[in-house]
Amino acid sequence: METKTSPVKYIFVTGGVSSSLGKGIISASLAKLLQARGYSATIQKLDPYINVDPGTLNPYEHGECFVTNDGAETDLDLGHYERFLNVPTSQSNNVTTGRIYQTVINKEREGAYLGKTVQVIPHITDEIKRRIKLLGETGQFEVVITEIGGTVGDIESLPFIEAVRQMIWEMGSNCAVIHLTLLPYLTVTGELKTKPTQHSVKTLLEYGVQPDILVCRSEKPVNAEIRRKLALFCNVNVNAVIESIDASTIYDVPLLMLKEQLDKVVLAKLKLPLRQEPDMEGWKNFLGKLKIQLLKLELV
Amino acid sequence: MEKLPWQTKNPTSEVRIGLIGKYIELKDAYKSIAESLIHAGVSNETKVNVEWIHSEKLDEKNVQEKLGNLHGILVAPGFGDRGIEGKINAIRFAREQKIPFLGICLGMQCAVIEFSRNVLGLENAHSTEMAPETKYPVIDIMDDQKNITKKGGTMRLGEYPCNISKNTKAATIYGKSRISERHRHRYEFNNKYLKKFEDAGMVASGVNPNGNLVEIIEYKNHPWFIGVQFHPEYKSTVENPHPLFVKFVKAHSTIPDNLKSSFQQRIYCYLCGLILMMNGS
Repeated sequence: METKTSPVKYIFVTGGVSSSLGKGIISASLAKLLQARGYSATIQKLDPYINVDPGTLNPYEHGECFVTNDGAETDLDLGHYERFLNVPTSQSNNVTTGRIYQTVINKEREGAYLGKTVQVIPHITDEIKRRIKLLGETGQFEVVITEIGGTVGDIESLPFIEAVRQMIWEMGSNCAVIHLTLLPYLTVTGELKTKPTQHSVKTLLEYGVQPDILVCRSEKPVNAEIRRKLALFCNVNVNAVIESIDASTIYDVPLLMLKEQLDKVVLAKLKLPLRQEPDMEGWKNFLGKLKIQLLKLELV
Repeated sequence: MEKLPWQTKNPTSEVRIGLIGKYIELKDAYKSIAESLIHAGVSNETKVNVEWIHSEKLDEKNVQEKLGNLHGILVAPGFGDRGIEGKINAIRFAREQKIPFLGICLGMQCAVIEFSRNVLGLENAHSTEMAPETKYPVIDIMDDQKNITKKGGTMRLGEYPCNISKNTKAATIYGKSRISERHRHRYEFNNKYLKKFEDAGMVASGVNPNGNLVEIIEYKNHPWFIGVQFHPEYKSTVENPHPLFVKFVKAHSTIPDNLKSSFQQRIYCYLCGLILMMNGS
């Protein structure tokens, strides 16, 4: 096996306009494609709530609590990561605001800050950055995808976005930012609207983060004109505007992202070679069988 | 593998699995189980229809109506008292009607409670989680949990090994004698009752290496009745569908017809009764 001397690359996935757009599935799909090209990738979820972990949360609030091999009680998105990648996650793959503050406050009580005033910047953001880099430093992964929970503009997720800005400032082309957004479809006029996305990208820009790639959830195909408009107003390349159309099953998404060349755009941004054509044969086989069943269900 | 004569050549094209839980209003609460069933369906090339059934809405009177047409009954994990009796009713129905049953975590514990009450005759047997003063604590708190007062991150969590006994259904399903599965619980099967259970046909087919925690139970007098203290759903992936789910989805099609007949007879009787009633009116 070749030694991995090239620096670990970090991809951040933020969400705009609305929650529940499926950042977890997009992150897992991208990781799957990178894995299929021969890269070792892992996904991390940063959750902006103050619970130390979701173990004590009512399932009505937050869905299932997923458990890792090393006994972390985590967000259910980690389940998607494992189901897509077939690689186990660990304690480091899910970090909450509560966990960050707990660490910082414990350190303060130990006297680790040597009498300094402990503040959100730099102490909280430093701890966030440390947690993000932790996975990269294991030496097991070439790419770390970090999904930031919540929606851009939330007060809760501000320190995370600031940490992302600082990491880009430190590492430049070793980082890429994907912004997942929604293009609402207006039935009356029969068109997809880009304004909410423009505003959400503006908010991100106010925090000093320029997204490199827009992944646009939509119920209709996103035509070239809309792509050009989004690229121009959101300051991204036109090939970095990716359509993510509603799918009948989440297992469709990696192939939809492959068709939209999300993997290629990401690798180009990170200045990484494409390596091999993605080996998705096993996945296509699984999806084919699943689709037959879905079809049967519809016919009944 | 060669098929036995009673195994149908074309497996049932649709398998109806009842998922019994108390959080079913939010399907995300059982995300990994639902996905594991999808993986298992693809692996069997069978479509799996999941019927979400609220445990609080199941009683002795309506189990037949709500569960009678299912090919498999899965009782979901959970905590606390709500919906427990519904889960126990569902398990009794699965056990008596020989419908394939998979109980996970609390689902396994409910199977233990059901068996104690209805087969062993231990009246009002319960878990000390729900009934601390119960006369028959068939499910009890683990020794190393007794002095824990804080709730966050203090359960028995993560991966632990488990030894599987030879010549059991679990051994056939996994095809190996040592497995490792993920856990999330404070309570466990009370070993004081183990002999009584095994004498009556409910055996501990999976036990942790120290031999003090029952991880898998299975009922010998039933074609497919398994309870697991761990969470197999956390380990099922697209590439590696979990064997427990794969075999559970398949179970119905492998049950000999003479065992299924009780169900068909019931349908027949029901239809005859209906016709008689209609003639009479």
